[in-house]
Amino acid sequence: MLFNSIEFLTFFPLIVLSYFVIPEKFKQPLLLMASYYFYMCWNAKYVLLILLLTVITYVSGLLIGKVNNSSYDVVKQTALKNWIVAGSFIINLGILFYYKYINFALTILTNLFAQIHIQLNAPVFDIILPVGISFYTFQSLSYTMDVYRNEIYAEKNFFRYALFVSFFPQLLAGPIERSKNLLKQLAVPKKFCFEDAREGILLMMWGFFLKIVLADRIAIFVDTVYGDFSTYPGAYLVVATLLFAFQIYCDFAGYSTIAMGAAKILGIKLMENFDAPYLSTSVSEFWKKWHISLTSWFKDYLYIPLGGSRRGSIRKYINKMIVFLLSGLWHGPSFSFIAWGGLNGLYQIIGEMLKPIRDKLVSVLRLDRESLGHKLIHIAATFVLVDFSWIFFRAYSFKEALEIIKSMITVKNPWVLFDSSLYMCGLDEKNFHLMLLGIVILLFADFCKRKGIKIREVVVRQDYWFRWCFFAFAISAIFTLGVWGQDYNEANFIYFQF
Amino acid sequence: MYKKTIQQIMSVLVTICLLVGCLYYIQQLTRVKTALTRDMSYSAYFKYAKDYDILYFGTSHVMYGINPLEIWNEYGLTSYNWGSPTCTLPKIYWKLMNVLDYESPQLVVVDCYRTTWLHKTYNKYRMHEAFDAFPLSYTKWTAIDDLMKDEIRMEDGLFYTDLERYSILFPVCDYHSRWGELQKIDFVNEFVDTKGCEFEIDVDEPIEISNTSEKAEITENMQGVIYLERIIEECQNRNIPLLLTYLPFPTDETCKKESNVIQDIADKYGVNYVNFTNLDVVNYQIDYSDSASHMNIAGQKKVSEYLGEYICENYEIEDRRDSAIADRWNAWYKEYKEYEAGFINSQNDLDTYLMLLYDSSNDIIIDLKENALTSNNVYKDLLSGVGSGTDKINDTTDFIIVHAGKTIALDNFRENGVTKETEIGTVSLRYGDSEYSIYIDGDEYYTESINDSASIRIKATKNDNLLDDVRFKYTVDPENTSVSIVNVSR
Repeated sequence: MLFNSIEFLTFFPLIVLSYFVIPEKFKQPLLLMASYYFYMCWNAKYVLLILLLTVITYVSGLLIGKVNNSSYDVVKQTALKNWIVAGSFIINLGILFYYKYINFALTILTNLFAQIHIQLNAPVFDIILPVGISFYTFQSLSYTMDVYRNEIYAEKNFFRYALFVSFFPQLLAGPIERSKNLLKQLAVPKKFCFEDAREGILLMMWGFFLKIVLADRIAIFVDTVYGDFSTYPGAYLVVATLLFAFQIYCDFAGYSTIAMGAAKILGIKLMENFDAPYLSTSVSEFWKKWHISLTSWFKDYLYIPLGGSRRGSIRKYINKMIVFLLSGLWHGPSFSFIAWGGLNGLYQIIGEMLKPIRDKLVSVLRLDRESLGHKLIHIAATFVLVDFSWIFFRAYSFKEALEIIKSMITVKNPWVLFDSSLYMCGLDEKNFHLMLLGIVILLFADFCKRKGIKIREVVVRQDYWFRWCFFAFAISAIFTLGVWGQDYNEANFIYFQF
Repeated sequence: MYKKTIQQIMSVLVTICLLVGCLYYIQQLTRVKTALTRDMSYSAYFKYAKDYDILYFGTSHVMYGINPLEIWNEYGLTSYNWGSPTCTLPKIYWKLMNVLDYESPQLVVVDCYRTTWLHKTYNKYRMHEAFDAFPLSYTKWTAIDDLMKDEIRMEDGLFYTDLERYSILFPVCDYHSRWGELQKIDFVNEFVDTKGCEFEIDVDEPIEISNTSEKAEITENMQGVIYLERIIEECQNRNIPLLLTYLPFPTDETCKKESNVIQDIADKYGVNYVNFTNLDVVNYQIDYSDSASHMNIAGQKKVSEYLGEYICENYEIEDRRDSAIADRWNAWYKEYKEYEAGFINSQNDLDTYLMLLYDSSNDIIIDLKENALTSNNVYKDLLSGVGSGTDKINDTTDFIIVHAGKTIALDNFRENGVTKETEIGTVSLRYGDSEYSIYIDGDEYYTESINDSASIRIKATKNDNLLDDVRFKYTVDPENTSVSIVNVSR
């Protein structure tokens, strides 16, 4: 069930109510049942898949723990643990590969063999991608690695571990939680806390604003233009690409924020997944602020094991490229996703290579890096670079991405920005302006966040009458202005395809 | 600690109340208030629910076919029209059940068109039309639950989602996106209360009319039949008299068979049934706005008068023209007539214009300068239907006059000084230098320029106030008598 659905809005309050009413020993089983029910609403038979992954990583954790406590020497312990981790990774990633990449791999193989004139009759598997598989696979693998590295003890309580893997607020699209954070909290269920519930509701409100008021509204415009870019060339595509940056941000951050809010109501703190990424002054900084849980996962479990930046510049660049290419591939079995990932890797490599030159220029020209103008230029440049890469993310194929870029460069029609043409792309004038207003609100909120101002804390500090009115009016506004209901087809969260 | 807990609970409750209030206001604001959603029409019912002695239920045939205010004016009967588009018998049953929460009528009239339908509902939008105006209640909840869980519909692969069900109970779920379309009508109630009926203003000829005497086959899965019997049983259990009807429309063979089989159901339960398709109440050539279905306002008046007379003869319903509520009903009737008068002066189609002249309370003069119009049978019937009607229209008719509630046709009436004794008085025509005038009992009634080139001039007044004065220029094809309008001027 989607977060913005009647089913979830009925399911969640019932679970919360039950959770805080029942005795403590039943809380974890309740959450576990709720999480499995939540997953089964998507596809009942795939609950066996998540159960399988849970069992594999649970057993591997126990085995690693057993080896740690064994009397074997260090070398043998390390070797055994390596085998266990390898086994766990191979099986889990193998399952992920089968469901997500098998057809893509076979297509590549077929094309490769065709180059040498060998016809490979590879089968095409009719596979329905289990929703959220990329997320819970990575989450359970991170547990295996954390146990391997002695960062946590192996979890002996299977049901608690199963809940860690399947915890419903973050099951389908993250954030990809770490066992150190989530398992610890699941071990000690909290009593109901009014302040936590209030903060959770505020987070969910913000998440719904991002998702149903902003992301789904922007999607109407972007889908219209990208869906028929021969009719909407040039400046239309430029505007749509600019807006897509906000669409994907609001869609994904909206989901994550709702997940954080839902967990907060239950007394559980999930990690932040986005930290005002479009206010970053470099692509490197952007990747520290965007999809933080995935970026940190790749850093901790791939980049650092590959050597990170410890083995010289060339190796660092290679490692970074590997990470970003795989990050692109993680998002989808398509060359356009790989190109998107590779482009972001390339930005960072080139950025690092050019750093000495930039430093020299700043010194020679006596520029103040802390000045507002300097920062704005960097923010704008970073946004443009990142947004350019989003073209590959949004297009249906690499080839289509190139056609879109060509259209943006070659078709000169700037008048469409002034002659009301933009109101003919799925959004009428009022909705277009509302969208722009929403983006301004978003940027303001992100700016406050960067300055250390938490708007929800500001709200909570106000008098009771203000808080009452704020909650009532804000929820009413989100309800009224949200894109849902009649003529609204419950647009899936973008990241559910991963 | 308890004080803090109580404060927190109070805080939550107040916030929830504020939120519900906001959402309720948004729902009221964003509900669609145009005629076809029935929302405004039905909402007007609840304020005076106890007034209505007779309730009419049915599809758009009822909605366009029965005018409670004309029935009030002619017979003093108070009634309300609950017709709505594609209103199946299951929906009629639940509308009746909802209405019975508010009053106990003296008579319920149910039109049986679509009795042999299989599905309970047509689509979600028709559900909105039927139920948006009803306040949320247990009966409404039960109604929606029953209607939108339609096994036969589901067998045909048509499902209502949970959100669609909830959106009928809480219309704001569907209408919230109207925030960008709000207009004056959403804030200011300028609605003219016509007691639930609506009007079609057009003239169209029927495609086909079947006269078969065969009956439709009734099967077990016909939801319409099941719920019609529930309606009958419910009314009988509550001692509410019931009248079944099949209002007239150009029936194809299927519908005619359906109309015939209703008699069996009526006989089974001992209920009165009026099958209008077997009667000669309407003229299918001129009383319909579309070729297959809906009466125009002229047809509506005929059916309403017939129905009112039938009810007076067969049921003991009080004539309330001397009662305490008469003043407001008379005020509503007056408001309706002023609203109806507005249809005329915005009309540029000659056939529709002539259809709108059915009201004999207006003063009307039709100056037929070119008699070729009467060679077309439809136009001849339309001219015959003006005012209280006349059967004396022919190809020498020069004037038709409606005055003091009577209608006369004047043939060969173009000579200077011609005079005729008629029901409305002594009518004469005299020429001046450049114009000619019609006099009734010596008073000048109408003047026209001799040189005017229009084919027909129509002047309508009400209580000496001009309603409209229009000239049409037309041509009539001598071969097929089709009429083409060349020019309209006011």
